[in-house]
Amino acid sequence: MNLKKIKLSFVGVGLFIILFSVLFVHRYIYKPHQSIQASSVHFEGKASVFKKKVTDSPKKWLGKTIVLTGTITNVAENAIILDNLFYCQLYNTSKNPLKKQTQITIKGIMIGYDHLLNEVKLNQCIVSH
Amino acid sequence: MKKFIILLALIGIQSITAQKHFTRSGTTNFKASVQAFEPIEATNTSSSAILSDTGDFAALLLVKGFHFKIALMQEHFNENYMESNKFPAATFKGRLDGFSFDKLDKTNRFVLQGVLTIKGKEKKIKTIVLLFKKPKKIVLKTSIVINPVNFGIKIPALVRDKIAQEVKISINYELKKN
Repeated sequence: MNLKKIKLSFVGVGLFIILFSVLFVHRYIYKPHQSIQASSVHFEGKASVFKKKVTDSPKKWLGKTIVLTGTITNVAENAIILDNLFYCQLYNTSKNPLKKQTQITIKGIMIGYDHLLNEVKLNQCIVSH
Repeated sequence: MKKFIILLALIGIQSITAQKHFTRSGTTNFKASVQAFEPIEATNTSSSAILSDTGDFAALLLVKGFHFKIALMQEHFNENYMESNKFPAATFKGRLDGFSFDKLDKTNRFVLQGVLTIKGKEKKIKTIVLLFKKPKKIVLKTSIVINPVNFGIKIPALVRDKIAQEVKISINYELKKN
């Protein structure tokens, strides 16, 4: 085989590998935020049941995606409060007006216990049906 | 009957004087960018804060509530720098010197003094706060500069140059009457 051709093909493969690696690293560094819809759920059920779990061991639930069903006890700007305990900040402003005293199921990430206002905070909440 | 009226009056006075303004959705920004690198900044839109009518002020920010544009940065922030599973909240407790609701009609600037606790470490803070009286709410704005080292936030030598020595935290809270 022609030496020049061998050299060229090495360079070609080398460049390809470099390009591939750069793209791979770029995709890792700039990976998108995980969508809440796709997140696996660590708890699904009644807010009243979760209340006991989260009060017993709040740190265990930090950063976990949970699905809660409860009564809307308060409506705030871009958020709702379930069962007087769970403050759920919505990912997007709700299209349908959310009313007090209605039952709702939300999926969100538990970000912690707010001991200033005595609430469990969730964010990135979406209304699930 | 007399006792009843006195009781009512006492309750009435109590509810008037025990005014509190608070928020659950305050905006806290932080910036630690160094020029020419990726902007290191994040926003927390679920900050809690309470301001009493005597000037006592307390705030609580859940670390996991800070949103970064770059997901990987948010991951590193929580896992490596802030260890948010161990220290889920950053808190502040302090007082606005010489504050009263009546004073708000005359001045906007107040000195805020208190203790900021991050990762279990406490540090005294003193800063000027701007308060604006608006219909049904008070807007509170201030910013402080902190050094991560003071709170045990270790920045590895490898990224030392990419993260600013001083981190600027700005807050903009709309406190509504209780």
